[in-house]
Amino acid sequence: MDTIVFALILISALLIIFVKKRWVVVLGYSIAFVATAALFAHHVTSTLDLSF
Amino acid sequence: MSEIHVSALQTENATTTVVVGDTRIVVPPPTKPHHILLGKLGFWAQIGFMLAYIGVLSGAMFYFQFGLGEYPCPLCITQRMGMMLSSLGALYVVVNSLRGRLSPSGFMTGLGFAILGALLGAAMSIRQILLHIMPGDPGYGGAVLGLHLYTWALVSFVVVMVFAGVLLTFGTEFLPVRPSSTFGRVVAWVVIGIFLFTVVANLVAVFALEGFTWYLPDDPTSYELFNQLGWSK
Repeated sequence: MDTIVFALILISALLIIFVKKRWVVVLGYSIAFVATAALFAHHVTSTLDLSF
Repeated sequence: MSEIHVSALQTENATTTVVVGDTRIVVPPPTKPHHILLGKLGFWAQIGFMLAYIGVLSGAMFYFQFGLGEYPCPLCITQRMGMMLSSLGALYVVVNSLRGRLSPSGFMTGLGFAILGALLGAAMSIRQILLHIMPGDPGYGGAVLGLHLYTWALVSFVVVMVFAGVLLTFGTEFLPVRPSSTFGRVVAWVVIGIFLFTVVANLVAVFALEGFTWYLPDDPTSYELFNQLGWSK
């Protein structure tokens, strides 16, 4: 999954460089962003034993 | 030849109102011209933003991971992703500026990318700081100037948010203007190339770490790809 997310970020960077249409760039960035957030959510496996 | 009869001409707070017959024409005050030096400063600030994260990402990978042999944890990897997502904002601004098509709205899009990436990255680094916040906890991995890498990551994400916030406060004053010299433009494209190389290098390094499994273990101790291919000792 981490490898795929890095690939999505790379694709997003290539879209920024080679594609003129902004909605395509925003879509690419959004997909990379959501994939990163999902990966982070997967690794949040426990609640913190802290009290603030 | 017809004549236009101006019945009234008022000037108040630098705004001029012209009345022609029944029509009122309001002429706003002239806007201050965009200062070219601030535009250039805005451009190189974005390049500096990219270079700073290239340095951080390369330092983490080449020094701590390859040099000291530390294996990055899953949260460390996601923070690298946050830094890259944030840098994509600067990349967007720089590329469009170099191509001469950066509008104020495009500038805002780039800063938006930077802030969103920094927010996500900050959430990740705060999570990791809180995991090791209890007294006596040695933390994960090595420290630099007394702070662990995930703490420095949070510092960097806050700096990005402050940077974007300051630029937004000044509106279009720092709207980047591309360098007029060929040398300056080549330098900018080289930085873009190094950024792409950094993303590719991280992709290859994490593939070696993760191999053909879906997720990294919480505390990696070897390069899984080499184990799976039977290359490890």
